[in-house]
Amino acid sequence: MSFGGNAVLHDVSLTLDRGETLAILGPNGSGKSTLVRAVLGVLPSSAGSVQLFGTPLGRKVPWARIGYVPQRVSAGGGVSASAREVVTSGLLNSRRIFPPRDARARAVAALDTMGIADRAEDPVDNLSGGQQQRVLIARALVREPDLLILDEPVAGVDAASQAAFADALRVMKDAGASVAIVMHETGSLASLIDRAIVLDQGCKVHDGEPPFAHGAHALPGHDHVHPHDADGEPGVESLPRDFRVKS
Amino acid sequence: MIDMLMDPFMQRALIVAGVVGLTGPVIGTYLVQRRMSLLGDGIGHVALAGVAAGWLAGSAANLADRSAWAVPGAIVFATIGALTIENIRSRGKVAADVIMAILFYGGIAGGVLLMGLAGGTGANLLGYLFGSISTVSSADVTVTVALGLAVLIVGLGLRPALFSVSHDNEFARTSGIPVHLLNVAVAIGAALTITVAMRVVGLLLVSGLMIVPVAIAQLFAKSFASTMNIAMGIGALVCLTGLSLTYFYDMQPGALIIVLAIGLYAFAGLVRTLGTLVTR
Repeated sequence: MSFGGNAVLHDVSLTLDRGETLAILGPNGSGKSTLVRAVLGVLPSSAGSVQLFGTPLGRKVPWARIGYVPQRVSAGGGVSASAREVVTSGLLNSRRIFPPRDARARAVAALDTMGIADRAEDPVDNLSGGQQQRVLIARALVREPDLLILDEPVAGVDAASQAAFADALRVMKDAGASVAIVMHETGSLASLIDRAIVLDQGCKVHDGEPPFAHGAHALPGHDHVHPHDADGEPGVESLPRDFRVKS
Repeated sequence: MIDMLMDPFMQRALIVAGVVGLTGPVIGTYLVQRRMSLLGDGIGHVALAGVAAGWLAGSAANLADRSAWAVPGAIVFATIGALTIENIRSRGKVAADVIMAILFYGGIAGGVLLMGLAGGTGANLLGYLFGSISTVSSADVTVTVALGLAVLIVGLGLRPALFSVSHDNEFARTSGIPVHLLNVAVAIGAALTITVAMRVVGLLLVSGLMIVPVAIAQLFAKSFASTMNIAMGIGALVCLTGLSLTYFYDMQPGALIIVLAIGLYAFAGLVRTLGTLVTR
């Protein structure tokens, strides 16, 4: 896929190839979440373009092929929901507003992938933070996506949940899926990352080998030559201009 | 008891009360999930203006029964009100709650004034504000059952999709689910439910019938679906029980139904607290 960005983001362009696992790194406020949310059309883009599987952002995008794991804060409402119900909602898409007949089995299987099938009927509010995160990942996995986009999936998550996620990610990679992960550091997932971009103040300051290979120097906060000229106020996030996923 | 069931007035009233008892909590569950429990109250206020506008139009048209257009008026106003609120909500405007307050109190004040102009009495007004189930006609039963069924079909049939939209709007949008359309469906469902329930508990108490059964169900249910199912059962139970009691005791049915529901909530809360103390 390719991004070309502008205003919280400045000229961030990138293409994610099929089967590639991309880490989107950077400090708080660098525009990582903004980038993925704009790519998914959750935030409106002021300029630029996004293509997912060769289709411009809009109704015609094959949303059923895309799994999104938002930051955990967005989960929850005023009424308890069971883990299975939350995961089942991942089976709905633009062409299917009723769950398929095998929804229950598929939801439980996705929870099993994340190692929490035994909690399927429990209210999500009763689960730990790491378990809640695993439910959200299962919700994205249940549709067997070709592109998985995760926003800080392992931030503040216990070791067992991190391990469950790493295993699931390995299975996804082996199946040929493309993955984009927003994260602070590659950490326990380092061996699974093919490529990393680093954002700082909305600019792409690194694109290539994951920075763990180079130590901490590729991370913002260190002196680094920025390959892009900022075309706006520093720290004012702009939106991605161009994002493509190859089908 | 047999006398009550043989009485055609009570038969009609029981049918309407049962339908309203089942329908209210369905929409109520979605409202509680969205943390918009008081929405029903606000739409009820707006619906009063619709009732009065219906009366006024009925008087102007010299209808034999000036109240004939009250329910259609309530449906139109409640729907417009619900869609306006949905529109404000989805845009996430900062002043949304102030705009809603203006809409709500404008509705009730406008309703009272219009009702006066239409020649309605205070008693007419009270009937809409607190319910008037004893005057249900066969035509009312037909309208109530038809609208109630429509809300049940949409609210239960689309439950997985409506759950997804209410639970995590952002995720639903990235799934390609028609979020806006489903939000509009909930708003219209709320407007219809309120209009239907107006007859039983009245516009000022309608929100109680939508929300309190859900609050009771939440004490015990582990999932969204079971919360809604239990709430529907409780809604029907309190409506039928409350109405039946007024056949034997001279009490106001709408108020009795809500008091029963709140009493059940207090009792259920006590049972649950004792239950957790025992298991400790």
